[in-house]
Amino acid sequence: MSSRNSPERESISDDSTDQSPFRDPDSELFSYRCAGYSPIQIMGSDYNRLKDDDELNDNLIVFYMRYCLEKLRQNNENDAKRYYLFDSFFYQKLSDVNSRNRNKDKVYETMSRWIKVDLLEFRYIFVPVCEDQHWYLVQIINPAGIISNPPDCHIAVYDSIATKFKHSSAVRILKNLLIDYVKDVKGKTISKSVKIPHSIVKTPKQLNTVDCGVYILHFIETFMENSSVLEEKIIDKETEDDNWNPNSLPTKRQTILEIIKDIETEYQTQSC
Amino acid sequence: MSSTPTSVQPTGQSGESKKEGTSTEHINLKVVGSDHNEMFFKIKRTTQLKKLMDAFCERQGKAFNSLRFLYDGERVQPHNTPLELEMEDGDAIDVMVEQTGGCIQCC
Repeated sequence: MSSRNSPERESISDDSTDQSPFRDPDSELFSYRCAGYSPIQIMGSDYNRLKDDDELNDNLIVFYMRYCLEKLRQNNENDAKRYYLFDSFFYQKLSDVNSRNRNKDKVYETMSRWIKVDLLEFRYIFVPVCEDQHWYLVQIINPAGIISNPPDCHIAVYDSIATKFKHSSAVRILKNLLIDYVKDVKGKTISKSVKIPHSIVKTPKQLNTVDCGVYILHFIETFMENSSVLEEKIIDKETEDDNWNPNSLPTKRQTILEIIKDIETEYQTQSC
Repeated sequence: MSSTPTSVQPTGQSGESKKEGTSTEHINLKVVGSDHNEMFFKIKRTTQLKKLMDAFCERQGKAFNSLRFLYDGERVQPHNTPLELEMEDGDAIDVMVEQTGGCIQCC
């Protein structure tokens, strides 16, 4: 640990131009702003995780999701408006409140303070989940479709591990939240026993023990680049590994690191 | 107790001081740890929340970059003030522990 704390540590990477490969863990590299969301602070310790082939943390996940959305907004503003990205602590809080309250009205009452947007206006809602030290991703496609009979929405789970991880409680908890939300804002009651189509998306699987966070970021970015084709395939359960641009996965961690370095340089130039 | 910063006073219990509680300059905030324990802080509306965050980290013996402070789900930046975030007396700040995930246990 002590060696990682030293910004002067020699780099084992071939990036010879980078004189200071690790950052002071307590320094703020930058504060990243994505329109419609509160800023997220990236610290030296976050950078070092990425650099050191360590597990990704909430800061890196939330930052890069929002970076992808900003990138999309610059290419196609109307397309970007279709997305909502929850903070990675949203599901943790929801799951915690859910397990501590028998009174389910209380669950919604608490969580409604965390919902600052009209969820039914979005086509895609992404919910990053960190459970048992593992990242996976839940996507709600067409949330407003839950009002239709039968429901015309879909809950998709992205998980880069090959073994069967349990996602059923996340799917159920998010479905119930959406039902409570519809009741609150539309005054429409939907039975909690309603069947919502859901699936586990077929995606490439990780080859090591640390990259699940990198993979979910890659899935979000790839989805945003090709949503019209991928949405249909996900709903029809027809995705294949090749739909997810697997060739760029081995260098994804490095790509994210380079983006952080660029923003860091830009941010420091601005603050000088 | 001696390490408590003077400008951010943990007040122990909610509404402990009725006289001071009526002051509009100060605000009482409830900080809820990930262990669900609550700690109450009295802070000026114009003081940066960094003071509260640092005081909490110190009392819990935690590194600043291992904790996240959320106000109604929004991440609090150290330079934010209660005034800026339109916080009201008695509002709660959730403290979350950094989330990390690889798949050590599940592979």
